[in-house]
Amino acid sequence: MISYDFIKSKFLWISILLVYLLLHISKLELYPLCLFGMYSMPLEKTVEDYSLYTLEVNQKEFDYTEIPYKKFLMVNNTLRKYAGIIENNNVDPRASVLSKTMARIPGSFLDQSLEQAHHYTMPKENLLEWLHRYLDIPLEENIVVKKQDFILVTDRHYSSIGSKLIASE
Amino acid sequence: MNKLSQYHNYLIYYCILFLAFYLFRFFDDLTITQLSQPYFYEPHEDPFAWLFIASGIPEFVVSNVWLSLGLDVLVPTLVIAILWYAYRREKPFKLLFLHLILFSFYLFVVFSYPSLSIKKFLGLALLPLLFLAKGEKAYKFLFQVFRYYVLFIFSSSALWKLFRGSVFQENQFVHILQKQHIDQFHFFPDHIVSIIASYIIDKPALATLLFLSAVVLQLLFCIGFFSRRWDRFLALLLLVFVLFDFLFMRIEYWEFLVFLPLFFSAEDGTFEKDMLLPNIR
Repeated sequence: MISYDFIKSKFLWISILLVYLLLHISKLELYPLCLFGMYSMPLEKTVEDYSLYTLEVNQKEFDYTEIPYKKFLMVNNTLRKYAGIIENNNVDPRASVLSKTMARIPGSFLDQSLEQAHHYTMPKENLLEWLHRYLDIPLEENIVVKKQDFILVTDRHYSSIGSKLIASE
Repeated sequence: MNKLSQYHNYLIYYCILFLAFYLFRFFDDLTITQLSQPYFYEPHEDPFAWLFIASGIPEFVVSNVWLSLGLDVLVPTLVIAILWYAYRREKPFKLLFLHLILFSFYLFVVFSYPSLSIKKFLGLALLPLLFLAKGEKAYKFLFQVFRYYVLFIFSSSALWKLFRGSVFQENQFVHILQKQHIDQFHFFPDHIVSIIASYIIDKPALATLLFLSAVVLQLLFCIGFFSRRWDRFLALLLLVFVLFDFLFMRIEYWEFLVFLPLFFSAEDGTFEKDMLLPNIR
């Protein structure tokens, strides 16, 4: 039970506010003191190129509309981050948590590069094994993961500039 | 309506909302058992989460199907028990405390998965603190603390956009929508969010107007720091924000509806004029 004597303490609230202030400055979060303000960084230009991660099961593109949207997000984000890891694009899973923490704190207030979480634990299992398991795809069915690159041609029209194999059986 | 019933009505509202969202989680395949083991863990920007993952606890939980299942069952069961006590006008402090700890633990396990955010669950995770208040004085105090917390969430969000300059950036919302919906446009072209986003991207003036409106909407929550007179209006803004965040961005903050009753106390902070939560008994 939370008593009035406890919560009326100024020290309690001043401490919480101070910690929150430090978190805002360092762009870190400390549950439950989360930061809000998604997309607060200015985006100066239109998306000029992007990549999509597609799944092929038995040479047929996997239809994500057949699974719940949140499950799609989980698969899509995992594939995107997996590709990031293997391409070593802003991702260094070997760096220690402490060095990452310290790198964040000084002067990180407006640093856009720190907006993205960029450290993950090392996976202990093969990506395709995980996909079989998570999407309930029988092991005898063949899964291929591809990265398709697109580039802005004119106005809002993008054109595919090829695809790259990320993982296959 | 007496003051005691306000406590129980809010608790009932909380429990019902919690269980409804838990059911949605089940249908979205998002319970820990359904998620099964992730491919890797993502500690996000939270040192608590880093330590938690480094301790191996989430890995231990998700690798044990019975432990995962136990958590998935125990979390809603506790809330059902709390709901039962709330209907009987009792204060189940021990159950609430257990729920507070268990659900925070549960969220931390889920938070370690890539792509899953903890922010939208903050209301469901933290409000049990309000119900743990000992006595009317503490409850009323915490009630106002939570109200200020919600005001802070929206105000802070607007201030970040102002101070970092995204508000003044030309075509900011067009670029946001393009970035946010890249996968959405390809994999779900017929979804209502894809249709709305495409329409807005084609009309940069409309997009700018909408973005500025969203920032003003968030900024309006600052009023709440100075007066309770506009609380009903702020409650409406909260509803509007949650709805349009889904329609434009496909970001789901429905769980924030648990904060709504905080904007339905009387101007002087008492609960006699409470309108949202009629006395159920």
